[in-house]
Amino acid sequence: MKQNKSFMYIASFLALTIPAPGRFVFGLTIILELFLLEIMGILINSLVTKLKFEEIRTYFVMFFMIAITILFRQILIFTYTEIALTLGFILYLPPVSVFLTHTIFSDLEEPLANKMKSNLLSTLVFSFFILVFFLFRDISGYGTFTFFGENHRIFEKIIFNPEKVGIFAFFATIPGALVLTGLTIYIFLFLRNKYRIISSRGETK
Amino acid sequence: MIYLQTFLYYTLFSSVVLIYGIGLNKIAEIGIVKFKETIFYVKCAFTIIASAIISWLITYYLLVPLKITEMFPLVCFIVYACISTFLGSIVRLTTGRITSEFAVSYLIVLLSIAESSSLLFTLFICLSSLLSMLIIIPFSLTFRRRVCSNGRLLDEKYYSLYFMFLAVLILILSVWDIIWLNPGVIQ
Repeated sequence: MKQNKSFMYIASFLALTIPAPGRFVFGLTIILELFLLEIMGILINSLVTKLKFEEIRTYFVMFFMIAITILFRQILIFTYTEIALTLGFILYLPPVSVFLTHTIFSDLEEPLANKMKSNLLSTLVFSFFILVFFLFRDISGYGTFTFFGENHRIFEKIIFNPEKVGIFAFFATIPGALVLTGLTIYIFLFLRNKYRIISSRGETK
Repeated sequence: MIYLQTFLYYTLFSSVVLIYGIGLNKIAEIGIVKFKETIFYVKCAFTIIASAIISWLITYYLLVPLKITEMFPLVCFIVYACISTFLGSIVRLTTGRITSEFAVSYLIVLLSIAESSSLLFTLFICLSSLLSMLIIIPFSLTFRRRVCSNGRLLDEKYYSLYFMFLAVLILILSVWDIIWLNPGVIQ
């Protein structure tokens, strides 16, 4: 079960981060969409339980999730056209990602408040990793920091000269993102093993 | 000629799996979990092609004249759900296998509707998406057999190696126009 869960996180992390351009603002947009879908998905799921539509639960909830994605996309086109134009097709990836379907369709018996709390917490941790990942790619790959700007455009702050980025530009590409994901998993495992060794030493004393 | 270019674009140059990221997690899973029965893949391929054609017809003849083209993901979803459920129940009744798959097939249908300009293009994009997956699978299997030949466990370390392997694969496919290899960046 544990391995299954870690694989789920890795798989949806890949699906959400690899195709998107490595700028911070795109990561933030995807996170916003993910939160909106998570909250609405849990609410609709509990509505299905209330109305006893058990047989068509998956189709009902997925239908609403896609509808919410379309709505989100329309709002994005109105407000930040440049982001909607660049992301394009990638906006349809979050509603079908493994993370969202897994968190929404598991633990159906739990009360709404508890489920909302635990799911939002796991989404928060997950999105934190995604944001750090995008921030690193933005700063190291392009030498910039991006955010939602005025007049439907992207605000861009140049932190250091883009010509001095050099070999770090590799992290802005898709293979770079894959390598970075691999390295992140390695570092995470290394830290976890160290933590385990330290905590087990504490127990024996 | 343009059809050949479309075909090559979606299979190799901008591979649906590697660049668009559709089914990347499924391919990683094939490297980890065992293969399913052949009927599963046949059913998935048939569902994708059938629902892409029907969704394109509905989008072109109904949504475009009404100027609600943005709603096409919902239409795709309804069509896909109907066809998938129908074929899935037929397969279950005849062979007793459960063949449910959603994310990858739906995204391929969506991609082929969103990025095509005619029915033939939709078909070509569908087929090249399926073929691009077929191209990656042998590499993935070879990598798994190679790494796991000494009884290594399929843990997180395996995943991280696997992602680096995929990165190398992308580099091999698109090494000709990767920016950071151009002179001027490395000085």
